[in-house]
Amino acid sequence: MEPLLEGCKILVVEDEYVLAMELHSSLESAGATVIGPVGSIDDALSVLEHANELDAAVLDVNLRGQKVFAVADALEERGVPFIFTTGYGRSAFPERYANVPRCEKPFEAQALAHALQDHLKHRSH
Amino acid sequence: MDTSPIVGDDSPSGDATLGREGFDWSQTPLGAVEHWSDELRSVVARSIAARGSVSAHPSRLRDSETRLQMALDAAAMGTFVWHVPEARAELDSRMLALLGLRASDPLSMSPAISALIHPDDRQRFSAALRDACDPRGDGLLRQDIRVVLADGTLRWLGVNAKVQFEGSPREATRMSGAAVDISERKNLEAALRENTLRVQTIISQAATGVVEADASGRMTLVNRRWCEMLGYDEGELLGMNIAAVTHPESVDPTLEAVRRLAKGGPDFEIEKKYCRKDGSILIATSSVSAIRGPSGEYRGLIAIVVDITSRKHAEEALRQSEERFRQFGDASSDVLWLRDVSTYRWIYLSKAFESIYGVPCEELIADEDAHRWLNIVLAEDRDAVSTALERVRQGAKVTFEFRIRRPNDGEVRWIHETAFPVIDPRGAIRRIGGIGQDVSEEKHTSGRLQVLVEELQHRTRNIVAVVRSLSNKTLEESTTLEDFQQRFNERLGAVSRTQGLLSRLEEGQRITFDELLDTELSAHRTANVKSQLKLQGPPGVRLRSSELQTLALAIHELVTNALKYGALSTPAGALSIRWHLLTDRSGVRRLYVDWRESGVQIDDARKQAGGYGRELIERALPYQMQAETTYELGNDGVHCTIAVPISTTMRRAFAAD
Repeated sequence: MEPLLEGCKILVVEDEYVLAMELHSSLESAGATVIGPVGSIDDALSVLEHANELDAAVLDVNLRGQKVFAVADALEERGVPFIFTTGYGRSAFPERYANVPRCEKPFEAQALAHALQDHLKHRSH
Repeated sequence: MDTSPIVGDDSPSGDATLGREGFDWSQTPLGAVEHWSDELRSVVARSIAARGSVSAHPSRLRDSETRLQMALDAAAMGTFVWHVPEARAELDSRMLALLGLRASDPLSMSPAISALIHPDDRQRFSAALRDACDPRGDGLLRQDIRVVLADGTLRWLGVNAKVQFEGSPREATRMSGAAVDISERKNLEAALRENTLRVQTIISQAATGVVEADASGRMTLVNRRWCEMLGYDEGELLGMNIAAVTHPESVDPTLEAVRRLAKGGPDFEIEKKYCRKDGSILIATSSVSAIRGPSGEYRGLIAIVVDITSRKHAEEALRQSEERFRQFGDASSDVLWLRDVSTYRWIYLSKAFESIYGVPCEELIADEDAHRWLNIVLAEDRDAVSTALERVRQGAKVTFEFRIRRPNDGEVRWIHETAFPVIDPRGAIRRIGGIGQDVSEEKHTSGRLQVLVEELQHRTRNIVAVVRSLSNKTLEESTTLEDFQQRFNERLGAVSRTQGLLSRLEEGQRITFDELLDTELSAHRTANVKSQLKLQGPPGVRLRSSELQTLALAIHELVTNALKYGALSTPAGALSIRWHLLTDRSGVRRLYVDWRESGVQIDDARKQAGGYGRELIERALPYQMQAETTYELGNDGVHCTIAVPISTTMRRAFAAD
């Protein structure tokens, strides 16, 4: 895979192990350093507290029946860009996240990497 | 003064003489009263009486000569004597006046009379004259005849005369008589006849039934319409009692009303049923008036009868139609309503209104301010409701939705309303109507359904992602396509078995560990190695549905490896699976599973060292299930322990993964 995300520190929040592993390996192969992955909101918030330089995050929307929006809000507060991975349609999202990119499951690792890179570029301009 | 025998007493009493009245009859052709025969007295008396009105006031004649004179003048009675043999007549001045003759006119009777008498009466009068002069008869003449005067005036005269017979054989010698003008009476009679005829015509032609009955109720007069209404002939009805054509239901009320009438009660109107000749029923209103005699006694009745059968049927049909509509309205769980188009006032509201809106229908219908109900509508929906109703007033059928807040319990309900103009036969809109449905439940359900659909989509996409990941993983491990195919199909089987187990669950149910284990062992056809298997643990340990997939995959991998390289691959091997429940120090209940293989050649066992099963146990279960796991490769086989938190909730609706 192209090193699209060379040197980026990316937090992965995904409760399904096999998906978390897959995300992990595909992000690393795109050159990123993966923080996590973590499978719960509490773990994600705890990682956020301790992580210094976070470039981006990939958030699974549904974590063991809980919505990930608390984590999204914390990221927003810190100015960390993020994208959602989800099996839900658009209507499940609150209005305030209308502009957040979504990767609908199942997705190609390449597509996710591109989406992340686009989002990062867009944010830095 | 004596009483007048002439007028007061019709009987020719011998003592009573007309002369006593002082009227000088000797100056008349009849001569002095004392020479009058009894018959002549009564003839004259009758002539006076024939004038009619005079007899009603006999007192006028009693006192004096003057009065009698006046009476005779008023009666305009002329007297005459006819000397039969010489055919000579003597007429007094009043008689001459009656005939319109002058004294100088010739007094020859026959030609004068023939010329004067109306041609239609001539023959009759001549015959009567002949009869009177017949000696075998009583000699009396009584005729009402018309005379035509010289000036063309027609006058009715009542003539009374008496013929005297003399000699042998007896012969008529003299006829004495009197005549009075009875034109007035005749005219009255004619007018009366004409009037009666007119009334009869009106009655017979009337569009309403007319029936007259005597005091006993027998019909004495029936008109054509009445006969048609009942289907009888006039002949059949006459003499029949009204009760006989009255419907049994109406007999008592009718008799009761007629009884009151007979006792002097007022005329009345009654709505009643009659029976037609063909057995069908006639519904009618009868206006009944009493016929009473001079002293007020009841003699019978006249009824004017109007057929209202078709009106009654129409009313009944309308009533039934309204009743049906009302029953539909009452039975409907929707609100049916009608409002006046200009005032918006409620005309009809079905029962469902009270339960949906929480306001009694009567309260709303009685409210003069028909716009006040809008207060029940949520403020943000009021404009839309007003606009929609305005469009209905303009003639459109409009479907719209709005929310109300019930005044009684404050609950918000969704109403789905279909409103339409009610157009009268002339095409005008006088009312608007509508059907309002409480769709709160549907709104709620559709919201729930939306959640369910999203959940389903989420789960499906997750499974696809898991399958993708499995296929990648399997691809990494596989050396050949056949190898891939076998492993992948086996893993896909484990995934679909888990889905199968989950899909059979009712809400709130959980898969138990023994179920899961049994499913996986059966799927791997372990029946022929049953003797090498030792299972020990309590049934019914409930697992979290969200974590079932990973646990199932882990067990799948363990069983597969045991069959391929481990305890179940050699007759010397043994597999012991024991499980029990533990509560750890923090109070979390866990399922503790001990998987121990023995009797395995360690070289073979080594082959599974880096397998996917081990990864699932060592990494996936802790990651996903907060499980505590161990995985060891001992001298004679695999020993693995898994401690997973178990389901403690009885119900987790839509438990999401």
